[in-house]
Amino acid sequence: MIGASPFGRRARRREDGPLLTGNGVFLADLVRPGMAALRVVRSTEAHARIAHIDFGAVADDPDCVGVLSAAMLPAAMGTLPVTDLVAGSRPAHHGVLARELVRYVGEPVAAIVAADPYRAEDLAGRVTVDYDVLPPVMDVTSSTAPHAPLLYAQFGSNIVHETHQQVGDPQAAFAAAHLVIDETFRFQRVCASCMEARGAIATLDPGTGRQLVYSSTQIPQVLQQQLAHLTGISPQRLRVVAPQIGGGFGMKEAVYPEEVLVLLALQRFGRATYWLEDRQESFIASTHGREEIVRVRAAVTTAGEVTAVEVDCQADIGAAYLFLSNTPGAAVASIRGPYRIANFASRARSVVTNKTPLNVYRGAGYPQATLAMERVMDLAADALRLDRAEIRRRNLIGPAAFPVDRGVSYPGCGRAILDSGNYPALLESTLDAIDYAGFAARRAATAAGSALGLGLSFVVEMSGGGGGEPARIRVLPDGRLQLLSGVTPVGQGSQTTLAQILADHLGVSPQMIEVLPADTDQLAAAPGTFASRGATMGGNAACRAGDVLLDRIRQLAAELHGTAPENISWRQGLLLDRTRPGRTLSLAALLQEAATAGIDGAMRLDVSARYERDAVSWASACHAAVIDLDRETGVIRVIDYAVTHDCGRIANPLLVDGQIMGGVLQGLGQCLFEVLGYDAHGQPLTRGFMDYVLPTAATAPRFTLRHIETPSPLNPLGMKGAGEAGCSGAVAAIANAIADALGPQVAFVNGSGPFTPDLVLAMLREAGRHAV
Amino acid sequence: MQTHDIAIRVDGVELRASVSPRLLLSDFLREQARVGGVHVACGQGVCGACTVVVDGVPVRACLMLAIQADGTLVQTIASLPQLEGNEPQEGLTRLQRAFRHHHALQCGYCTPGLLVATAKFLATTPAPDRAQILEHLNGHLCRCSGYANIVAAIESVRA
Amino acid sequence: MKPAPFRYVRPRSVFEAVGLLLEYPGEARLLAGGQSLVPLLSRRLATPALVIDINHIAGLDAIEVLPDRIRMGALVRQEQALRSQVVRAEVAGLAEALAWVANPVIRQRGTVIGNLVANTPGAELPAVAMALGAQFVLRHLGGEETVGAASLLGPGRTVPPQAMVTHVLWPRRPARAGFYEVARRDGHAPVVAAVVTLNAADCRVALSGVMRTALVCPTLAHLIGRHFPDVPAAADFATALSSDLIEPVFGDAYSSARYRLEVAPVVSRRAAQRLSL
Repeated sequence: MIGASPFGRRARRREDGPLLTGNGVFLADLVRPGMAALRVVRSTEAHARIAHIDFGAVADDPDCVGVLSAAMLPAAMGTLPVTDLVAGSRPAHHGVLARELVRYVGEPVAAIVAADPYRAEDLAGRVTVDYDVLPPVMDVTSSTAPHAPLLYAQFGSNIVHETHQQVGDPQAAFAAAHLVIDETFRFQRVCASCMEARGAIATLDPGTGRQLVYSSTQIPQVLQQQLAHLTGISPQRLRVVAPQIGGGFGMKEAVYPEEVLVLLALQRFGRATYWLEDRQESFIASTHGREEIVRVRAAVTTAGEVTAVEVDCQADIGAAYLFLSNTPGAAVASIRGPYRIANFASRARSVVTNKTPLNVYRGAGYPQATLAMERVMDLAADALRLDRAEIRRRNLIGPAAFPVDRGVSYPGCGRAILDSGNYPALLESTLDAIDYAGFAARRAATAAGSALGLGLSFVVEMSGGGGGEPARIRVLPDGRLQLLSGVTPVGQGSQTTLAQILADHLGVSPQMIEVLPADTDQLAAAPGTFASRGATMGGNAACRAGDVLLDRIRQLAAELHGTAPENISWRQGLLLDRTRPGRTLSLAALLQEAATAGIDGAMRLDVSARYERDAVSWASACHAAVIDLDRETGVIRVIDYAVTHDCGRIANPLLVDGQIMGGVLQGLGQCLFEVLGYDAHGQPLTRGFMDYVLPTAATAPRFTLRHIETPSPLNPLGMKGAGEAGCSGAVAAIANAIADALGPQVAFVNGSGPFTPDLVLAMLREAGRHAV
Repeated sequence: MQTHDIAIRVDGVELRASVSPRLLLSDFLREQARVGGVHVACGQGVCGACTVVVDGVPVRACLMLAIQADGTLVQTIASLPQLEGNEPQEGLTRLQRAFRHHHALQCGYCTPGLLVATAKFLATTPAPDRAQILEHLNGHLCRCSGYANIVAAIESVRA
Repeated sequence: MKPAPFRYVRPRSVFEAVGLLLEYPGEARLLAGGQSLVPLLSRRLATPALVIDINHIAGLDAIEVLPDRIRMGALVRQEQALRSQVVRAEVAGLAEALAWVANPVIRQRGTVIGNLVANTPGAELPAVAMALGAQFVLRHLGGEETVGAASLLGPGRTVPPQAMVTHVLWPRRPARAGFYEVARRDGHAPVVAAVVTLNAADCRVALSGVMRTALVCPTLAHLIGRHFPDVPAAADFATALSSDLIEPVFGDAYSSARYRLEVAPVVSRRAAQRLSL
């Protein structure tokens, strides 16, 4: 018999066994002896015309399987897809291989397929590319300046996407304001730094002879459609499988050139071919995140009420779109956060520069939006001599106000309507968790030379964008259920969570449910895993499929028993037939009965369903950080960190906490350490983890995590996403804590990180307050 | 191209191969020994994901040539019971169970190397304090967990 | 990130290794711990024709106590030196510095001499060698010579291409020692590091990460020695350091010369504060 409901339990993960024993199957584990290795010849110039590609004698080398350049691709081959190209955007699309121009260091120019990766790298090194170098543009300011060199001459501009939105009457609010805060924040370029870099394999499916692509991708179903389209084959002839993925964070949410190239190699050269990105390559070949300039103006009353916000977001998207065009859109949709702010105006631009393309990275625009808004709150509080918690209290949307229509929209998620939450309760909980009241005394007790700071932040985030979610359930011969889900395993533990959700829904033990991430044969159309959508969308889809399954089970049992489906009931995994009291039937027994009757029960009970949602749900969180800043060395350590999070009903608190802590560390890394630098010629300065500094265990704070559950009314499970709120709030909370530690006299020169020791001392020096 | 015949005992299995001197031990273990639990993440010794034990000493498999391991005994995650000196229960050692219980892994890519290194660390430092655990973890990058649960897992198994 | 092809040899003697260096002038690299060389090979930043694996040369893995020197062979690992009682007792500053080098796994493989001759800007061990006046034993076909640390690790200096550093000789000099460094992140490669040693005879100080190579600081040493056990103010450290600088302060993309100059007095002061620990 079943005990407590599996929903909400801190269940240990079923994924862990193979991962702990080295038996997890990641992409590299699928490389088989005899497969050829592909190496990409990448542009060494930031901006140049390709004068000539000389393969020399490479193709004649006995270890060379084949070579590919743009000239060898079909003339009709399209560019890589963009999902959200809104009207008026300019088509700054990324090709599979550069044809005439290269626009960033790392852009694929040619590919070598060879017997092994060592030989492929040798041979790729023998390919010479002559470039006529063009002047590069390396930042938004120079890219949008008059007479700037153009990446796409035909556009006449480097601004490839621009949208405007307005709500209420911001002009009137500014005219009536007591105080106007006007700040510009610059966000550096960062790298998702998944521990497993990308990779792809193209081979023949041993069972069917069809083409089979394995890719470390968050979006296998999308990839299948696009690969078939680009290479001109029917999607039915192509199967795409995403194995265990060693971290995604948005970086693996795009269709990339290398995925096309391995498939082309298979098609052209008849050799199964793999490509494994190396770390040095990853820093220039996989999408970057964040880089954006955000200017915010806020109108504030004498009482500290923010009555209007105007925001101008300019994303530096690099040389082309890779998958997404409206990078700043999420920042626009979410920047007012949990605050009422009735009047609003925005301009969002995507600007091209000669750098690796930018795509979403955990939190997409939320970290930028949150930091900008939360800095505004602190600056307004300082100007009005208000307590920083109090100014937030005065602006928070009340718990009775939902739903709150923000009057703006975001592609893929529709109109931004906050559906549920209890923001005041989040704030008070977090203030308690960080001992806000006791902080002044704690600060006073700090040793000389060291400065403590406390920072608050509030994040709201859309979760579950990207369209409807499918799920499929089959009944295994032993009577267990097999859930095939479109949620790809990127480390979030969705197999465990989805089993808990479906088990709860069906009133069975989670052990009765096997969860498999579906490949494109098992589930044809699924949006993929991103935007904190896995548990909410996958969970609701699983329940929907569970409902269909129960109907089918009742029908089948009724048919076999010669009764009506209404007479069949389902209790804890067993069937009861009202016309045969005292007897229960297991699913395995039902399958046997069906077989005896000549019916393929497994086929009849193979059900699919799709969960469509009307609007996205909005998760929320209040963060607080305490930092210690060494005024002599500029070194910052985050000591304490508190989050109160509201992701609606929680299927597994253990895993939600894991998401939050991991996300906070990524935000901490962005705030303190991480930056992808370029020199003035467009040469990247960051090619490894010695240059790109990631957080380690020693940099992790003490965590206090709390939850408030206000169920979302928008989905039957009442869930909201949890994947990104940790990352999205941490940058702002830590930045505010740094500002607090530095004191109001220190100009906050950058607004965002990384707050390297060098930068911190420069800020102190600037303020002339450097402690002696 | 010059090749050398080498013999390496990997997790108790004697392997003989003819290798080019430039072949990295990490590639040998993955491609020729077909060991799944050696994960290459950074290729320059920073992240610790490919850590294995060679003749009793933990090493980064990406920073050693396969030919240098000729005649040695290499232990990977498959040898964790021996490295830890305890019998697995339901297929997991004490350390592995602690990682599972404390949710100390998410994507799991860094996990095998981290477990191998931690087993060796605990063998020489059975009762580490927090500072020693953090120093040990300085050689390991994890992008998912936020580390707190890794520290908690190790603390839970110290003597 | 796969090494370019090279030939590989495993000499059994220093004589044989040095002969190979001569045979492949400028095209051979010595491989000991590999923690510096192998990443360079993988990134093809080093593409030697020949890799000479010295790990099988007998006798180079010992820490020997000579009448006035501690002698370490080219195969002494960093962790081995860190755990050595005689090093802790008599080579003031070395163990303190070694505890900051990379992490225990890297230190169990990486050699003391490998770290020294790589001479990366900011690295811990070259500062110690310069401060203590360590000496290096060089072998080439002409024979053996002993040179001071400065002639191998100083500005513009490097190991002659056809020579092998077989040993480092540390003076036996029991003393108090203090070490401190700042990094972009705790535990990451040092930006600026300082070592201070002090005994009845004298005080020694060296900084790394301020110039491209380690900088010996006699004025700073005098300041610290004169006031011990008190530690003067940071401003006094800054003034003293300015007398010790012999060339422009070095900077890179992540840590400017200005930062290094500003933080160097603080780092050396903190190293001095640790003398009494």
